[in-house]
Amino acid sequence: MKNKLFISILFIFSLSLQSETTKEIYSFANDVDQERFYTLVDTYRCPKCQSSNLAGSNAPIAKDLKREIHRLIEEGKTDEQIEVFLSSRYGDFILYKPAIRKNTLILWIGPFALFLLIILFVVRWNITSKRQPKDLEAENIVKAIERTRLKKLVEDE
Amino acid sequence: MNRLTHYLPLALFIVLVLGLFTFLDREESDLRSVLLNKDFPNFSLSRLDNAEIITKDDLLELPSLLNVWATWCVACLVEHPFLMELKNESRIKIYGLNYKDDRNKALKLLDRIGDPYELSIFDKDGKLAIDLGVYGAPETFLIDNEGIIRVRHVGVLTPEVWEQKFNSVLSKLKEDEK
Repeated sequence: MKNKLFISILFIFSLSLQSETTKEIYSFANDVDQERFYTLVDTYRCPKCQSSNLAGSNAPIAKDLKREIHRLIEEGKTDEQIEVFLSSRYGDFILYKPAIRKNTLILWIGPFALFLLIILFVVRWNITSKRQPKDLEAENIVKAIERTRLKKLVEDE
Repeated sequence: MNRLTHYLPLALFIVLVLGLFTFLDREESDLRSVLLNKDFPNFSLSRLDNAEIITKDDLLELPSLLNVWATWCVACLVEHPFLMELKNESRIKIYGLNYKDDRNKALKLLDRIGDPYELSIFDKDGKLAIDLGVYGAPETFLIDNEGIIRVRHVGVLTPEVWEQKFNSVLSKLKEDEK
């Protein structure tokens, strides 16, 4: 029994090892380049699978783009040049952090504008709701005065 | 507090939803066509049917379509009859870009179902496809007389899509030529 368990555990681990090795392996001239590669494939979005970055995607196009990024790094291209390479082909779509331009302005300013608007609204709402009790009090006083005047009028009749 | 301010959050929410819908919808078509009105990228790849290396200059018949296809692409089979129709009625020449495929399988498939292409470029590693911003198959491009990309369509090329996106641009190109 114990033996069986041991073997099945071994089997499970051997499977995960195997799937690890099917991942593409890229070699680099130095550690800095390798670090850059991993940062870059983390930074860009996979054009095919919209909710994943290049690193996390196994789509054929993501593999191709990883290969291209590897090639560009090996050719000595800078990060900026690689970004130009990618965005001139796949557009802003693959940038998680789009450039500040007229058509992307709403992305950058929108959340702050919305936040400010909400703050303004909340503050205004607070002010008006605080004022309300006082107003009610004044109203009550007015009502009390009127009531006594009415009473007086009725008594005078 | 008056009535109007009660409805303010709801109004803001509706504006937000409408705004996001129009903005994101427009985004989609904008972002995916960076290569529109730009030169068709240069390339140096083998033909599908033999080992001859071809470049952009070998795309002789312009204006023409460039259709990205592969044997693993099921949707490509769906649009295949329409591509055959375009070829047989000689409405436009079509070049094929065989994308990340197996050469033998691709040739066999064309033998079996018919070849709508003037020639097919064999792009095993997706090199030219990356330069075109392709991220799947099928995709279809319209290249004008000067080698400039005028239309891009991602997905199946149906007669409807042809009418809506390609035909008007093509007839305008032909008119300008005269």
